[in-house]
Amino acid sequence: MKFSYNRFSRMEPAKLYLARPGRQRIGVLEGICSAHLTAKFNDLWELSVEIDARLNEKANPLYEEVIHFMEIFIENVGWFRINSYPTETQDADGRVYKTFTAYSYETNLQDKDLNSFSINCGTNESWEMYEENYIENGDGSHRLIKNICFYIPEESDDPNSPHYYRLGLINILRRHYLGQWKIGAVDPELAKQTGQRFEINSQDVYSFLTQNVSAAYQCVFEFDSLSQTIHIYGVNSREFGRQTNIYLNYRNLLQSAVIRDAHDAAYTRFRVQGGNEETTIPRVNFGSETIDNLHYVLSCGLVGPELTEKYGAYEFYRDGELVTLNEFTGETGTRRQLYTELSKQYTAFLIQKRELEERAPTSEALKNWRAYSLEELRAEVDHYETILERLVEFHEGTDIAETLDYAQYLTIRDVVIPSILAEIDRKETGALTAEEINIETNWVLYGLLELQIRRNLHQTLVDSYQQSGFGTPLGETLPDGYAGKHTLYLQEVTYVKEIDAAIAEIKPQIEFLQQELNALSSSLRVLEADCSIHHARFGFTEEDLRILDALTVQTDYTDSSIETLDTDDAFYKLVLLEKLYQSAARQLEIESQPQFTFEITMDNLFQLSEYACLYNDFELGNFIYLELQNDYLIQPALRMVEFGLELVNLTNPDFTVTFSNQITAYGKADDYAFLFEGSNGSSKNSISRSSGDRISAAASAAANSVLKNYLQVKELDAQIADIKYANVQELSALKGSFVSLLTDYLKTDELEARVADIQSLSADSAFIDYLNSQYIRAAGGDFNTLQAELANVRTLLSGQIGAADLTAIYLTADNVVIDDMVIQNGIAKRIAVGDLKGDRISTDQFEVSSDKGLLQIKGNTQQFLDQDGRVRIQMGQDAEGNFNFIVRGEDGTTALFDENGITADAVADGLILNHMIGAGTLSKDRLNFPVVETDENGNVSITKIYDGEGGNFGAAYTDFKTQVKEESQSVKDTMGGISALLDSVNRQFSVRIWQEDIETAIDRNDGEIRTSINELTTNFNVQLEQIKGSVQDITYLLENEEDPNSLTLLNRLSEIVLNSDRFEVRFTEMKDSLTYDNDYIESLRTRIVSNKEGIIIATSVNTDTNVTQLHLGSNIIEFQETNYIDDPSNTKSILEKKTLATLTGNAFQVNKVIAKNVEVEDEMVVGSYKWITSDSNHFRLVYVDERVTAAVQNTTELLEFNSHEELIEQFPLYGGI
Amino acid sequence: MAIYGQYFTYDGRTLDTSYILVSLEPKNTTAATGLGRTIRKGEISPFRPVPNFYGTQYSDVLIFDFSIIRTDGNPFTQAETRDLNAWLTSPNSPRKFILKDYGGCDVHENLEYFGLISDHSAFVPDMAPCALNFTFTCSSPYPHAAEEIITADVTGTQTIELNNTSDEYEWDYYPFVELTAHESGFVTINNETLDLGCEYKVYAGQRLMIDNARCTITDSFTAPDLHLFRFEDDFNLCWLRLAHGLNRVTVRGNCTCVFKCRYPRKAGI
Repeated sequence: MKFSYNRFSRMEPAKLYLARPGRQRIGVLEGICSAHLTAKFNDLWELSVEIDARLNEKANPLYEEVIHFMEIFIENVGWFRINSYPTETQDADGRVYKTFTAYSYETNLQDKDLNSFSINCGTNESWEMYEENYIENGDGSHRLIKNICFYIPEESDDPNSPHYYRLGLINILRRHYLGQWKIGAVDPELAKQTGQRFEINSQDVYSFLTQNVSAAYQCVFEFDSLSQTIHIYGVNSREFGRQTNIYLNYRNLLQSAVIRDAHDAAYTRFRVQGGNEETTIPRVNFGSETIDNLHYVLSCGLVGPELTEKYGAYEFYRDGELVTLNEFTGETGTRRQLYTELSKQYTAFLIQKRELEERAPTSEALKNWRAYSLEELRAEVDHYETILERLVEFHEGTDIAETLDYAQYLTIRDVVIPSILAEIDRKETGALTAEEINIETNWVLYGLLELQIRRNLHQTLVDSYQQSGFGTPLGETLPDGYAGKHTLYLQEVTYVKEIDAAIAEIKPQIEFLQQELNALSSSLRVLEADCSIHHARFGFTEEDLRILDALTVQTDYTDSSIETLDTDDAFYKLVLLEKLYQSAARQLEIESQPQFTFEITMDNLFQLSEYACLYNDFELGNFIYLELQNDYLIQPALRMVEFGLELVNLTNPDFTVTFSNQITAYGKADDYAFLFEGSNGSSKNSISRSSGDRISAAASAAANSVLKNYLQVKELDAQIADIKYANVQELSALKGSFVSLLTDYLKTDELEARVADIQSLSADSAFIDYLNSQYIRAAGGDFNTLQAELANVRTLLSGQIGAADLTAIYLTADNVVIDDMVIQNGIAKRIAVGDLKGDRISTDQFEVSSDKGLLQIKGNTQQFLDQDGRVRIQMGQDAEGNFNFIVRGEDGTTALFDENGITADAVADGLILNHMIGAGTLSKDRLNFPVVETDENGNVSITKIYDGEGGNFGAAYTDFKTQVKEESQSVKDTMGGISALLDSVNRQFSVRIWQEDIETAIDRNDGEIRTSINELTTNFNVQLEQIKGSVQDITYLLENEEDPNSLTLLNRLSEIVLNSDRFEVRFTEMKDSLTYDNDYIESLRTRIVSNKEGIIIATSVNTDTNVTQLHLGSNIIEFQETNYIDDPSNTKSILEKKTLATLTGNAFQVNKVIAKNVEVEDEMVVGSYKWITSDSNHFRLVYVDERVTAAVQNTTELLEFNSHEELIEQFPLYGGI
Repeated sequence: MAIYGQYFTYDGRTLDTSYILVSLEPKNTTAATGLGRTIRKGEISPFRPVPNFYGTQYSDVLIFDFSIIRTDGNPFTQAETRDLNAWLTSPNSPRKFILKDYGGCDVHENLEYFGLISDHSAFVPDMAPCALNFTFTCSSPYPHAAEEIITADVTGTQTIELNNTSDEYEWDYYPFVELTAHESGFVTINNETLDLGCEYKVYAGQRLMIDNARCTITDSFTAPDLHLFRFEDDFNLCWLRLAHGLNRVTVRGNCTCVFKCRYPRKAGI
């Protein structure tokens, strides 16, 4: 973007051209008050404009044409479009104007929708599925030749060309959706990327590009609206954002900065959980569900260095210091790794123990092989032998007997294969029956729990036979049918002995394993205690722990992407838990420290030619150095993602810049999360993750499931022999490819539904189509097996072979004709329990048990067992033929509920609450204490109640009532008197209170005050009269002269002394005096008398026309001068009366005495009042006539004080000068 | 009216001797200096009679008026008016203004003002322009000394002394540095007085214009727009500055360093 500059490098206001849709310019917009541009990185630019309707009383020619869908062109900046009708405002002052926001021209891509848009989905509508791009396999399936990459620079129109445009995502969009937009520079690294899958139902093109594609390929789109060209850059390309030489600080352009934490709150502790309740981290986190991160809070000085050091040592001990993990190999690791390793060992022993306890034949043992042909049977033998080998290979390095697959291994080895071979033998020999492979008495197939159950069963039978007399003969009389029953008896005895032998063999192993488990458990507990923050080794004091606790802010962290499943083996679960721990630790590292965002305002550098060297670098996406106050340089440099400035009204200097959020973790920062995933906001109790890793984890789980299905497919023929014989390494590689593919596949889809779909390998098989379209991506060697497998899956789906795991072929009466023999031989004879849906299953024939063996249904009995094999709940018919429902306690023996109902042991203290007892069901005889009986209304007779002293309460109550009544009346009467008295007192108070009413009052000095108020008032009045008399004295002095018609007004200094009881007015005679006639004196006196604000202290008459008064006001001392013309007695002839000087508080302000020459209208200074301070304790107020030279100057002393204290004393109101 | 100065030079042009610089103020006894400052201080409260002080900032840049009259006392012709006005009011960015004192006065000696004419009027008794009045707004609150240029041809290590004579005692001065590399490698400029080290990765023939005040570095290695110098890789993001008084600056590398300093002067108008 370049702005307009003149030849002298001065920025000029931008010209905004109005254009009709389709870039048809019609003229330059005039009357624009402001045009504010906000340029954004990977987002639409905004242009906010205000335009006046009138120009100098003439109509703005293009004003009416400024409406929606019109376009705006700004030279060197770009094209914009007005998307909605402008807002028009009519001000009270008559001004009419429109405001509108136009958006950069790529906004027209928001108008174009992608509907049913599929890329690399392998479905028919997917863009890569064109005739020339796949090969028919001959079985109706297709094999894709090439899938869609990001962009083909030199595209071809030839469908047979590898550069055909339909093989490039951007090419497809350009041809069909981008309209006039062209593709410009495309990051070469980006262009060749293949395989991203998109399945869009309905979405606009712009958001698809800037959100879906941008996130999937980690790229940004730059729309050059001038040339209508789209440039695309990957995160690693230079154009994505480059480091610049722009360095902003307060010494050059920076005005202000706003620094915020992107988090609403900081957390230092997570309680961690995965996708389900079972996925928690104690097994990899020293037994704790929580993790802490106090690095930041400790590093920023919130605690002292000693505590920081202790905490560092604590963390180092847990996660830094290396210890020996394996004494034999010498492998080392942290204590956390040691803890995890011990957990793994614990898990391994637990697996072995469980296997020994819970072992049971798998369902294959019940297969009916008679329905199979010889050829099929032989294939089955091969198949199961392969599975045996595979199981051994899968557990390479581990004794198969120590794995949970041992039951399956034994079942196949000892039951399934012998059964098939027996059936083959039967078929080959033409025998009627095949040798029966009895699994019921093959004790090696069973674990301890099942053996104990079976032993009980057989022992019951033995006991029964014995009780019935079929056991060892006790006498000569044998019961009927003794021989046969005795044989059965002996058989049962043998079974019991065999079972005992089997138990005797297993039990020590279990006990050994339990010892190992106990030892490991103990080691784990020791390690937990060893690494606990409370361990003395770390030296945390109670105070330390309180401080750390104050810094601990906890929230829940859930990473639903990581979820352990029941189908996961124990080791894989631990791997997932470690991953969960790492995920949480990283997020806590982010959450525990502020993630700063920066917004700045700065001078508009585009208007400053001194900074022209920065113009080219000042582009969106580039990195800028920002130095704040105190030389604080933000590092790394910040990426500029938005700036706003005024284009027309250049007097508006506002220039704002926004930077991307850099997420800092483990000392590194990047803004990819901000750019591609949106802001990572968090709120209390709800920090969670659901993308990225989750997909990966889900893909991994799905891959496991799919491959497991493949492993156990039993009816695949020789066509899939390759995968049967694939070794474990190949399978591992295969799984890797699978995970990769699934990760891509899942990215753009609803996760849960897709995973379920994949794991079931259902035949609608969008995933199979996807795999078909994607197989090219995988490394050839690793993927060959899968490719072959996929072909076979296709074969299966085409109907040639049925597979137990692929059951979702959609068959209808219209497209399928089923031969009767198919039903008879192919279905009916092969049908197994797992195939049945809604039929009756005889539990005499099928023993139902859960995978863990904790639920067992057999015959008429259903049992629930605990982990130790103890029957905790049993319901149904027992060996005696009695029906019962038994619930036992934790010890397995205490019956909580038996055939007689609930037992006393089942009722814990406090268990039975009131509401559990039926209303009206508790009778008197059920209570072991006497009950007070009521009448039919529930009332209790008072005659049955005693007063506690042997007397009858009823009689005592009557006496009490009478006494209370009497006492109450007495109180009432008394209160009436008091009330009347109070009324009286009230009235006295309310009417008046006189001093004389108060006979004795106590002052604050504890003295009695009787009539002091009156006395004081009297004294006050006396003093007031004295003051009045003093004022009259002044008047008297003025009047009492020898000549009653004239008065000699002495130039006297007056002083007023406020004594304790009166004012004293003193006059000091001055050296000059003037005599005036009585009228004038009268006028003075009149003024004196009429002046209510204060007292005239002294009056001096300097000339015939000038009178100066020293006037003591209520809060001010004034020197007033009154000038008269001709007749001073005529008050109307007063020329002017003004204050010459004022003394207020400590401030004495002297105003110059101005003489006014009426003729020339000129003024001159004639004199002034001055405080003359001869020394620090002598003050004189004098009048200085400045019209004469200093030598003859007449200085009139008006006031004189010999000390400051004297002054204050005489003018106590003012507190001194 | 008083004679302000003999002549001045502005934007590279000197006032012709047929004119003279005067002040038309009848009683020009007070002159603004531009050094008025706003004291940034906190509140006085009943409990805090002594407020907190946060420093100062100049209230404004230096602004002063002057007038030009013809030395012969005649009014200006239109051509003269146009010429003078155009010259003085055209610049859009601050330009150098040097005033030559009248007589033996040294008020403006060795001072350089940078600024623009911000206001203009004419004294027109009898409807003839006898004087042209200008208001000059400086780019700073004070003038500056003439630019000091210190050149150091460095092979290996060389220490030079830069004397910061700025009248701003409590502000460091950020000099302009032209660095011409004679061989590829690192050049370091250390102000030992301030314990400050600036490091530049340069290529033989490369010439860096380091504006430490504005925090820009331009590279004239090849084409003007081709900036090979990259902050990210070639610079330790340290800007050279000088404390008031003598600074011991050590340059290491094989290069020519030209230090350009124009120190503030709190004198003159």
